[in-house]
Amino acid sequence: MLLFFVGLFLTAYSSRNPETTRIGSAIINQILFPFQTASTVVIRTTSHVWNGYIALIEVRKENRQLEREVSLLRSEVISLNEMQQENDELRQTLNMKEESALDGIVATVIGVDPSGWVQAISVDKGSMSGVRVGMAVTHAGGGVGQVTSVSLNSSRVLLLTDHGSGVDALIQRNRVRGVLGGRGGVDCELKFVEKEEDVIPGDVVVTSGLDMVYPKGVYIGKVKSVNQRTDDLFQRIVVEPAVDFSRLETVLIIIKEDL
Amino acid sequence: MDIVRSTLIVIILGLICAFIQGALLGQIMHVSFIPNFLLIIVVYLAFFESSSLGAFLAFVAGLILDITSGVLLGPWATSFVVVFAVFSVLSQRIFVESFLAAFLSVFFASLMASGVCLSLFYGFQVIGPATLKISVMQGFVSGLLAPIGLGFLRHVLRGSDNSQMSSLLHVGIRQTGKRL
Repeated sequence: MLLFFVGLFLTAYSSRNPETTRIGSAIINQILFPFQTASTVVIRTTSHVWNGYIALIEVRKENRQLEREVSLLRSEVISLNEMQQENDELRQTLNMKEESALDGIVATVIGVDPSGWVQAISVDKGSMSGVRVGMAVTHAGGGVGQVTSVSLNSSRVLLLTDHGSGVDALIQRNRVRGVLGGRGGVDCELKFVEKEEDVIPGDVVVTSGLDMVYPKGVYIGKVKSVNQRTDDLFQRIVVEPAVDFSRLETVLIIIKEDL
Repeated sequence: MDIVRSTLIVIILGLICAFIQGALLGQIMHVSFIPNFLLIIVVYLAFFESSSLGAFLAFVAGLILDITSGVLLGPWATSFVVVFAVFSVLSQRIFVESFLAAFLSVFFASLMASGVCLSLFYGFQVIGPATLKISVMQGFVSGLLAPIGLGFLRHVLRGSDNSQMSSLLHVGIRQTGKRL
């Protein structure tokens, strides 16, 4: 009985004082770091050998499809370059200050949450590489999450799909703002969007930059479904993340000097 | 077992289980198919250890899972204590040496632990169809590994002393000469 109440007290205390958990988590992660790194190397090597040499399933078909996609992307890149040049000239003309490119640290995923209920990953960069709690994490495809605890050589990243995650986001098409939270599974939800706002499936969701965590304009995902129940003040908008979190291997931790 | 040795063994086993669940299995398979080895340890403690020491060790095992999760301290510790309390009462009624009893015990223990833990993490709002599906799958996989896990733990924690290899119910049967 006593232990039950001690557990409840710890839960309440640590929810108000998250540093308590961070310190213990950093120590445990530091102890497990060499084993996690070693196991990641073994798993990735085995996977590459299997996929590259043993299980050559439909490789030729995939190759042809990829060649077609590459040629389409090439022509897109050319037209985007044109637009960038025009943009540069306009900015120079108007004397606008250019936004600097994202400065970040590339990290490898070395583990996931062992309980399976928290959507979080461990990466192999920590305080020795300049990582700090609160830094945003992205991938080539889009936003990933936020750093929640840091040890010397590893960090813990809470994914966008976790219930405890929250990112200030907006619909790219019409700049409708909301807060993107996780649903504990593979999708996210854009909350606090009023029923009068125009949101349709397929709308692109990006970060607004107003939460001072993510830079502005980071791609998060696309609207999957919109539900306007009459008894709710807000719409229920499900967002499919751009990143497939189950296949994450490397991420980019965005460096912010003022953290 | 004395308390210091038991605590150290549980901590080491807990770290190994957290590593296997997070770093090894977590990178290979979906979360639904990752067994909760720490829960198997808790069920073992409920059936084979005394109430005060076992409850403390179950609390420590939960704390290890909380710390490795890195979100809150307490949800898993509390849920493991609840599971321990319920199953230590049931240990007088269940013959855990059988495969079916071990499987069902760990399966229901997993559902109970997940329910308590999730309600402490996020409140009852998150217990929907997807969550239930993951809970059931995790419980099923953990249950399948329960007989192996319980046997291994008996061997590691109790050694080769045959008189200590039985669950409390088994000891009770031998002492009284009749099955409850």
